[in-house]
Amino acid sequence: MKIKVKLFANLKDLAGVPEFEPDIKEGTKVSDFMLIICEKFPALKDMVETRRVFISINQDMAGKEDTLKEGDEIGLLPPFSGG
Amino acid sequence: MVRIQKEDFSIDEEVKNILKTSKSIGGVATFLGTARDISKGKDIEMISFEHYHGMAEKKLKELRDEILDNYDIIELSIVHRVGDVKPGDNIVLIVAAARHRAAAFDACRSCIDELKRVVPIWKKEITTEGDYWVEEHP
Repeated sequence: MKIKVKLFANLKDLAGVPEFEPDIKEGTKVSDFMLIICEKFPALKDMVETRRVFISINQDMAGKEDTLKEGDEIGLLPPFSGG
Repeated sequence: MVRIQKEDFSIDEEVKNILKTSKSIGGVATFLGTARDISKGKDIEMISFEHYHGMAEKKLKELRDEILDNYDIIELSIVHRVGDVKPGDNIVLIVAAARHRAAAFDACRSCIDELKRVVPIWKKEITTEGDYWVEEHP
């Protein structure tokens, strides 16, 4: 199934792309998706392993056990620094 | 009462707008965040703000609703700039209006603390020694 992934701030710079549309297996959990991300973008591995990458699904924060669905918009979010 | 914009804002205008909402307002607390010229010993030339369009606006609205629910205030507005700002420029404005000052101060403080924690906005400092994405929010 296809999903849309958006990257922000330093994650976008490290990966070299602002977004991409991977084809992943149905039932993929956020935790599995993080492994896919590390494989596709090794430059993000350090940030993922040091828990500096948060995931949103359709613009709401997601947990590791959440499951991705066809057409979801996934955000790869580094720690926020607004204000 | 919640905006994300590239343009600068006027504190006077924002306060006037909030005062128009009720005659019961007896105190208005504001927090203005501005751009510093030095960060960790480095001279800042520019700060560039990026946001997750859609989600950042949604989280700001949720934050405003939460603060209105949890504090005895009458109105609350939040404006955050994105794009490039120079040292000394405005970044963020919180305006909290209440019947009495204590609730206005408390709501204003809580709002900026939570904004830094929950709203997907990121800051890149462009310094004389290179560009750095900021991860911490002191």
